Amino acid sequence: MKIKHIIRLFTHIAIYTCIVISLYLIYSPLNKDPMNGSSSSVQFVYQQF
Amino acid sequence: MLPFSSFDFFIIMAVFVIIMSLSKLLCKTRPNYFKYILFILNAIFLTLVFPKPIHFILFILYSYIATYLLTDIFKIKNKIWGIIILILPMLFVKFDIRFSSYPFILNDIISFAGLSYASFRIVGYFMDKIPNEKMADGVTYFNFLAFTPTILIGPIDRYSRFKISQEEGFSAINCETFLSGWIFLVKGIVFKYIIAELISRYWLDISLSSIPKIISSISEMYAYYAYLFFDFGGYSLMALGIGKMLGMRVPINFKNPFTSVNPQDFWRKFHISLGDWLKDYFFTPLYMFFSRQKKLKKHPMFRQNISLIITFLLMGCWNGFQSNYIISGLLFGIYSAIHNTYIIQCKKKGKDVVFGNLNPKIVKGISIFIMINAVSFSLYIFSGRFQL
Repeated sequence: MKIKHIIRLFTHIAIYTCIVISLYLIYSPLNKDPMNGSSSSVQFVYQQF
Repeated sequence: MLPFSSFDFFIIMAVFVIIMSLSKLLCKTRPNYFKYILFILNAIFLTLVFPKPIHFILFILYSYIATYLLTDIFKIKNKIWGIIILILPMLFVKFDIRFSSYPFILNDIISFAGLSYASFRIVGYFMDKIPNEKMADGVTYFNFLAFTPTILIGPIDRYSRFKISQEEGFSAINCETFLSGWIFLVKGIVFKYIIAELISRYWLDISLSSIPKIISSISEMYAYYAYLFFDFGGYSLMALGIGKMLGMRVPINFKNPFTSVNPQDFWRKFHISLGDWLKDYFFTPLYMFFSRQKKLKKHPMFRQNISLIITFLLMGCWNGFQSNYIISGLLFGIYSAIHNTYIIQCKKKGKDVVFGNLNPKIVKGISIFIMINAVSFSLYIFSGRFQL
């Protein structure tokens, strides 16, 4: 059971790390976009629709 | 700020979840306080963060007073008039889109974000309300319409279900629901902010000038279906997750629609709350109406098909009166009518009139393939990107 829990913990850490890195890679370049007048890159994407 | 439109929204929601959890500790002996605390949080978001709060509050008051007058004072029997009165603000806004060349400022006065979903919810409440049944209490009614995670894009909740969930009170706030809500939230974030965004950037919005137009259009068609599912499904999952963390159950709105085998199955998996709403409050009354017509009594299949087509046409018009929405709704109606005819013919003849004795697994595969293409095409028209 213990090994199972440790594997689960590391799997979760890996998944969440991937999510955070993906979000960073997707949205951080938008902060430098000259068209971005908002304070948030998510809001910038949202405004384009 | 609109819900889910910026990182700040998630910070506000985190604060709300903390307040709700602390309230559970402080109000152990007063479980009824749950709805009042929820009311305060919803009111804070609506008045301080949401755009056009006065409009939304006035609309809530209008719908509450109108429902009360229609059901308890005038006791109207023909509910159609009641529905028209309740959706009047939405009709003004939708018609104004069509006649945008008119110097008409009524649209600016009436319209606000979330008007359509709020209208659908109040119609549901009005239709479900039994004559002489006590009106909903103001606090629950406000929470029902202005519940922060679902205020903008649904799901289209039912008052009775919302009330039951609210009555569970603080007992619904625990580690189990928090973790369950967290998983939904993370899944929603991945759907909306990663997958949908990647589809949008690297599939949907890229220009494929080097390849023939027909192929680029087909690619765009599939991309839009995938984008819409992950974007809208992501929103719904996040609303569900945050709702759970706040102690409220929000109905599931999407269940892997790519595996749908027929139009009926599709609306059980894609925007479920809208499909259920249309079935209960439009298709069924319409079918009953046609059933009462003497000329149509001997044509049950025609009654069903015409009701299906009108229902989906209404769904198209709900998005606006532009031709792309209307044609898209009509197409969904035609798909459903074709499938309905196929089912009835199979029942009549006691065999599968299209696939015969073909292996069920192959039939399922072909059905999924047909549905993906039919739905993608209809949604592609809906998107307004389709060009002949």
